Amino acid sequence: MEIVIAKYIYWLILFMLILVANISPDRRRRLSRVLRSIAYLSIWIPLILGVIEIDYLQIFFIMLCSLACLAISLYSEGYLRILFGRIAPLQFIIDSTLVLLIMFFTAYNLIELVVLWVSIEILGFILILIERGIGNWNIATKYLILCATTGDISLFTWLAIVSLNLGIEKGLLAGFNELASMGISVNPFITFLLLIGFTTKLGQIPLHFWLVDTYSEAPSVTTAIFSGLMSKMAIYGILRLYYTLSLDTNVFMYLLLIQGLLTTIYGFLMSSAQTDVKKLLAYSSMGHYGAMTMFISFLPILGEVILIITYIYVLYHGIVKTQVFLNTGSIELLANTREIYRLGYLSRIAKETYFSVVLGFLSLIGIPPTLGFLMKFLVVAIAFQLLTYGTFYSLALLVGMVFSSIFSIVYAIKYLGVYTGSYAKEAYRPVISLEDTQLISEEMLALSLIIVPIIPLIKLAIPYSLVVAIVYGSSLIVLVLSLIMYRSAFIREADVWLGGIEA
Amino acid sequence: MLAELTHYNSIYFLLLSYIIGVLIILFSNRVSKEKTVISIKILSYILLWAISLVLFMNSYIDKISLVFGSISFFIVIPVSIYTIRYTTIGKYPRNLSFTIDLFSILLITAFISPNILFFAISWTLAEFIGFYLVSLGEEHSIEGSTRASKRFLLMSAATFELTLFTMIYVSVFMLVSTLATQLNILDVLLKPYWELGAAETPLYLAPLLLVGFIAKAAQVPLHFWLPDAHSVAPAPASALLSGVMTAMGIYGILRVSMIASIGYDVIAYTLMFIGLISIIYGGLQSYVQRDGKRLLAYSTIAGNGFSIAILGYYLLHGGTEVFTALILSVAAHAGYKATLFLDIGLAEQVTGLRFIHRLRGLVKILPYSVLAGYLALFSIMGIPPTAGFISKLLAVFSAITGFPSIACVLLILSIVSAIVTSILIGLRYIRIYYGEPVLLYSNPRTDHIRIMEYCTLVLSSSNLIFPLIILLYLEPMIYMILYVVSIPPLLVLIYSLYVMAKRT
Repeated sequence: MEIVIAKYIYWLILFMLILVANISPDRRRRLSRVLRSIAYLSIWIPLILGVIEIDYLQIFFIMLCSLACLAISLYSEGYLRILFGRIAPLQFIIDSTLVLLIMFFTAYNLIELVVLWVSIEILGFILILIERGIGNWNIATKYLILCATTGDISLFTWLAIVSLNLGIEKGLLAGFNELASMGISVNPFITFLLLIGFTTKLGQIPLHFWLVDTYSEAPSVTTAIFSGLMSKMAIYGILRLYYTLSLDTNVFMYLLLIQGLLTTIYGFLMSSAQTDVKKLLAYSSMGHYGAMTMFISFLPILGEVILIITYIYVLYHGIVKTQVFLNTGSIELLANTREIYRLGYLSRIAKETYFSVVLGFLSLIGIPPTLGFLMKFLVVAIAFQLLTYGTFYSLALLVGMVFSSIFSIVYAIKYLGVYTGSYAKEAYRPVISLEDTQLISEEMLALSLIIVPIIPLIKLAIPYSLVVAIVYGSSLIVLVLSLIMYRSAFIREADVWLGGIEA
Repeated sequence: MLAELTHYNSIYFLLLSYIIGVLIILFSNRVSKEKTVISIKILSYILLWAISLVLFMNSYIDKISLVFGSISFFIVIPVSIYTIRYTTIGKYPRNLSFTIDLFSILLITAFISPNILFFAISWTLAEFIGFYLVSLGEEHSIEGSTRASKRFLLMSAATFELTLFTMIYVSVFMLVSTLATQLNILDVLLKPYWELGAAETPLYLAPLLLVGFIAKAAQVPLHFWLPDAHSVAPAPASALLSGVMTAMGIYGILRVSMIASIGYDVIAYTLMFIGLISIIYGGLQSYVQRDGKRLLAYSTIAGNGFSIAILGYYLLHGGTEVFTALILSVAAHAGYKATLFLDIGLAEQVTGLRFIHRLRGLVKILPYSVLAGYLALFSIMGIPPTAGFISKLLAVFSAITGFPSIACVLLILSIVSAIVTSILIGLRYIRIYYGEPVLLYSNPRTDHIRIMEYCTLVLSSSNLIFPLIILLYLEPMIYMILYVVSIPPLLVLIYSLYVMAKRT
């Protein structure tokens, strides 16, 4: 009981910090910034002190949340100021959503989880409207109807199952570890009902069509929240579901595997065919969600290993997608268009964002020493481990993996073309300079893509970590060296150089 | 002997004070000073509620009556105060306020009457007052026809009478045949419901017993009278008709299940099926309406469909959770529908419009009423910790309990369609708060309507208070946690919707 009260006091403090930070964020910019940073980083204090009751499932999500929330909050400040001249009411909405997300990942019983889930869903609806207002109404409606309905069904079913077995009061207030020790078993139909809400939130086929519209039409900050953090709520939900109830293994495995495989193939295929930057990234997110779902489907046969990989995937995808979606926000501000073929000159007018977006896409392709490489390596390792359990699983994973890596390269090149694709020297319209907070937040995320892999490597918590550590170390040297060489020894042509023939 | 005497004295004393309270309320409308009228009304309605509480404590009435009565009291008080200004601003006949009071008292009396006689009398009178209110609204409206009121009288009142007399017939028949004695009919009618006992009733009487209540709750084959009647009536009358009067459908079927034992399997499945169809039909119709009041009227069909589906499930399985879900769904519907009718009525008076494709930017004209509207819409959409959320939660809980069965599947289908349609309706309605204000009148008189806005706000608080009271009674701990956790997100939500509306 004391621990619950301590947690509520901490939540209250979080809310207070955000409230105070948003009293006059336009006049006292620095104070507001500092308070917000403290709020998002403060989650580590109660964790280290052991005031909040959490388990190993939550730590990686909280880690991601702390980092991404800080970046998004800093970025949105600049974004809103450039768009509207002041940040006052809207920044509070974004900040409180982020705080609710942190609260969601620290919730430790069902009733908190459900309440926060539903609230965040509705706040997502508001976040879609934040920039264009009523113009985005239909998209927001579509999102809310699909996500909220299926999500409600799953969550309510979950509540109902637990309270049937433990009684309503004990069931809803019991901590997750207590629920896990009960081992409540669930029949196939209910398993289906339980999963459908989470897979819809992840945009899995056949209920995927809300995702691309929402992601591409919502403002970039919102999309970063959606893709980086809110989708992770669904992953967390599935994992939590798996560990608190004993689900029907067949339905769990085959539903997630088939949905995941289809979505992976569809998402990556479509993403490389887009000409809109945000649509491209939206489909890519969809493909990644498919891959994550596919991983989770192997949870009953491989256990712990899959869990570790899912964590790393969550971290990787959360950071990378937050970063690149924030970057699309920069593109929109700089160029006022999202069409890839009307851009191509951005590297000349926005060097700082170019640096961070290159790191982001190196990670998406899977080049060492980024987090993406670690992920790709682990996938291959798992695919071989799966061979002992049946070729079908292994084959499915490999197919997904092949689609993912090939088309990742395609769309990464396409996206980087926004920066380097054309020989135009300057922008087609007067350039607004981005705010410092935006640049800092993008760079912070990009660098964390390189730094974060150290954490699991130091603890040697992943399979084959020694090999990975060697590769990681050597490629880090290569990266640094090539950066230095780029700075010093790069030849810059004075004129546009076409066709290889100098006139 | 003495005990019996005091027993009778106390009931007569209570009845007398009830009648005095009623008279005070009715004659308070003659007082010219508005503040006096408001305080008299509040005090005497609270007195009436206290009397009903005392009646319950001395077990003159049972729990169902008390719950339905209390819900009605909470809704009736703000509506009654709202009517005072509504009458003067909308230039309605002077007696509108009086009629609304009379109507609400009759409705409440019907709910808290323990026997068929009082129920029949007060209800029949209420039907005619309802007819008068609908026709009053029609005469006041632009159309000026009396089609809606005639339909209302025909469908709602006539079928209701049919059912009422079947009820009386069944109970009298039962008592006479089982006791095998000569009984005075009045004696039977004066017996409380729970003393009548369930009479063996042939199945062919079931349609007769149910038709009135199904028509009252406006379920699908007998729904067509409702959209007309509720959209032409004056706003406070619509609020009462929709929030309180249609709840009689559910109340009545609960009572029928007490006094007649029929094959409830058939009836339960029929009710659930009808409920499901009504949710889908009402929800879809409501989504395509342009007239705000018609939208709300159709969504009444859907909302009652949800309650009827749960009721069918309750008749089949029973259980406290199902019953709580049922009561909460009725309470939630009463709360949010009355709020929204008052809200749209206010919008109509200020802007001269009630077409939701034209009506925009209300947040700049009616800030408090919009706040109330948000709370009501949260309840429709099922956001914690409102009544709508908890009723849906408990409904899923009850559905899972009965797994696997046809009833469970039907209930789950109803819940899914209720969630989808209610979100659709909510999102369509909420648009009237956004955008630039549209005004037909050149200078809206916003200063005189503040008190009406407060009434709407008080009414909308029912969405938080009803579940609080009902669940504090059942599960105190869980509800405390739920409340603590969900109040901050709720405030954030309301704030951000408010900000978004003001910006656009």
